Amino acid sequence: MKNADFIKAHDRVKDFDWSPSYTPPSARYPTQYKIPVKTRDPFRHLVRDYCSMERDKDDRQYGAMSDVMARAKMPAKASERWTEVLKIVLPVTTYAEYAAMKCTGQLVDAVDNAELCQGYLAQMIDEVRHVNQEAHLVRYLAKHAPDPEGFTQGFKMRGTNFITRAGRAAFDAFFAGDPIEGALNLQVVAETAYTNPIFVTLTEVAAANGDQATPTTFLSVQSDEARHMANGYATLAAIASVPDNLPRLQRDFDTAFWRQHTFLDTFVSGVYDYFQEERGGSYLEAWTEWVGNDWGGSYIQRLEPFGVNLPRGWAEATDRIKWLGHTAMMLFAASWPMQFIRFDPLTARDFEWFEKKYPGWYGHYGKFWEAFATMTDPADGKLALSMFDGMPPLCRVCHLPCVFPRPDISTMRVKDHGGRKHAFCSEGCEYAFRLESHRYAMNHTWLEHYDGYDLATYIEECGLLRADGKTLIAQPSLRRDKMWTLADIRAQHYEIRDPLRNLPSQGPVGLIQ
Amino acid sequence: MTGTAPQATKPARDFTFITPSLRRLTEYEALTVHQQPDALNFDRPRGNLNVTEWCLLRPDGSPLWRPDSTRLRHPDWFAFRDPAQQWQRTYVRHQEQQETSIARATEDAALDGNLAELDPRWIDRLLCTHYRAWSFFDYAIFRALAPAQREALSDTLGNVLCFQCFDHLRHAQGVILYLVELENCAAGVDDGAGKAAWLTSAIYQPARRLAEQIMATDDWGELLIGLNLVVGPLLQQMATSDLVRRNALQNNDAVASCMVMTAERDRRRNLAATQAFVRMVTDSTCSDSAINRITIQAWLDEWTPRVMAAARALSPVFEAPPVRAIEFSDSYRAAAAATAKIVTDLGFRASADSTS
Repeated sequence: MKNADFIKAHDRVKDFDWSPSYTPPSARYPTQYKIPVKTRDPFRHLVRDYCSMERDKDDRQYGAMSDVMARAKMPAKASERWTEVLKIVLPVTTYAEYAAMKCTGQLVDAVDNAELCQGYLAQMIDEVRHVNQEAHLVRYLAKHAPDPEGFTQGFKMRGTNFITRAGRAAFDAFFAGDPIEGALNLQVVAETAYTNPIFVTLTEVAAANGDQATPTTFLSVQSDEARHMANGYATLAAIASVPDNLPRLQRDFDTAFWRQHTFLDTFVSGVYDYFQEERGGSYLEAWTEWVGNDWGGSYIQRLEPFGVNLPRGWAEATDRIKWLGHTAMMLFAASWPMQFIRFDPLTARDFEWFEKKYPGWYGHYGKFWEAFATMTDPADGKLALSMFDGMPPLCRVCHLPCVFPRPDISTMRVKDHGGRKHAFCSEGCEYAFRLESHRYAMNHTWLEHYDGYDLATYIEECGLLRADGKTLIAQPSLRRDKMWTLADIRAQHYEIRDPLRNLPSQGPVGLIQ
Repeated sequence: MTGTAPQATKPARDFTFITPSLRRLTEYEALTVHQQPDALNFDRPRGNLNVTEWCLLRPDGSPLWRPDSTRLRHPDWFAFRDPAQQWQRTYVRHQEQQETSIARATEDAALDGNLAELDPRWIDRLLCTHYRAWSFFDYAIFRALAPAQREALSDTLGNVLCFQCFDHLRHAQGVILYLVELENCAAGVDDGAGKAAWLTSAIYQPARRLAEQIMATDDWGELLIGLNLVVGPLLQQMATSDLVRRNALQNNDAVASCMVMTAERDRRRNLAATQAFVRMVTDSTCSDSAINRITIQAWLDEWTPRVMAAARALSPVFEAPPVRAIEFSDSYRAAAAATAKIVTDLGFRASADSTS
């Protein structure tokens, strides 16, 4: 088709909507926003071109993985330290994609704008694509990686692991509320700010560590994301063009940023910095480039003429970035028996890198990692968890431990509401709760679910054992000659305790009406 | 760093958390099943608290997925399997093949002079007016199925609805693309005629009323059943298969015929998925099968007269083709009989209207 015809066809597909006169539309997803009927077109893709483009991309990706990469046994040659973390990374990212698919379904319903709806449809199928691609990668690694345990059942752990539950809490925001609130969480924050550090920069780490399967998949995913960012910008520009929308827009934008920042920066920075074996850049550097400069410094600033400002909490987030991942990784590694990956203790070379990239790192975290390296042999019977009095309480909003940005300068607060105590990891999470307490107040954190559980019982009940029924999937080292068993854990008599029940409340939550 | 001590038991090399519907896990199942959280069963922490909960609720306080999003009941929605076993790659590949076949048919018809030779009455009455008006009906189904996939209570059901959603926008856009190509080869192509007919012609008002009812239907189970057991075999059959495809062959329009054939292939896939869905919820092993039967029968009784009204209103269009391949009465009788057979084969009573 000639370009002029293509433009003509595209102009015509914008004219599909009409005002119903027989049956009023269903108010399935009530929105607080006024949405203009006409907008600037985000991109011009018709179904025909879309199918052709995506088929080519699929053929390249799946073809490469099933052909030369499998024959060359490339997954077996990747760094084991790196490959292990994919056992938890991929179930988390896959849920983000699934939640994104649901977000676009809400947008097609709520936005009476045919050109945007068609962009949302392409994104809807893209998100199915990404779910399938990432699930395929997990299955591929289950088949080809040296240690399949954790890949074969990782998706089963998403409801019972405290980290993956926090991932769900963040990505639920893609589709739990007002459709525009979902678009802000998904398209404006998660996709525009974070997919570059996740799907581009993280793949550089993967490739440097011998993993070609992840870049092959993630870069194909990322090739769709530019369109999704365009969807987000078109949606945001349309909403911001109506002055009445601005107060609500800024409020939802503030909350969306904080919800995504708390999980994504914490999780991705830990993955990025602690599972590299062949070391390159740091997450702080990647964040500064992609989120700090590109998103905060360029993308959002372009919206200032519309009246949209950098989100509330931006300055605090910029400060927190330096420490979030290190704090999270200390807890992640200490809680290794509850996980489904094997950890690789840090070496002197790692220590040197961390101190160089994050000056002052050793003073806050070095001793822990030195001790952790001495606690890997089950014969010694030392659990890294024993280095702490217990786990910190989990945040009612983001479900992450209330210990950030660093244990010595934690911004945790405990408040009362509705006859229960609620811990919040930060002012941003408390603010989200104050705005809409009823959306959070009834949930239970992982610690509330498992308070009083013997660690061995938790492991057994959640299926965190290998095929022999005795050895843990998770291990504190990559050694296969000294692996912890359920009996080793049982001998420790470690009880999971929720500290929230004994923490004093600082008073009632001040709800914002 | 790594040792080589073998484990006592060889670990699995495939997903162990999905129960295959047949002997072996298929690629479709592996990449689809349990991607949607299942707070009732699969993802429920056993722990101390016997609660079904979500980290974040909707603004009205309801859960992320509402059990009452359909009036149908089933103990495990995740047990559903798409008979076509479609996942994204297979689905997109299939649609790319269909779109390529249409694009090539259109290109060839333009180059060999076929498009220039089409009867202007065929172009005006059938293509620009009827077929283009019908693209709005398909667009309405697209709009309806997007929230249906959002609300469906399992990933396997959501994906079926998502793919059907895509089908209908493909069909709607296809008409526009064809008319744009036709404008380069033939005179008298009026793209605006379809929308005018859709909004004002008495012929299309029952269909527009139905389209608006479809868009306002919140129950995803009802949509699946109404669209694929009634609208597809009856109304889409008459409006596109009979009026466009069968007449196209008689009026020397190979492209329109090809386009409708691809839509029919989609329709067969969606019908098969819906039949599997109905069998699942009415199977004797489903504790709510009796109440589900009553619900489905009520939907069929409600949808069929509406759909038949829309179909009957199309009667004048059957007079419009320069060469008529089928009479309205024959089309109506056959479509109603086919619909009645689909419904009765599933153990339901066909609407009196469709058997008269």
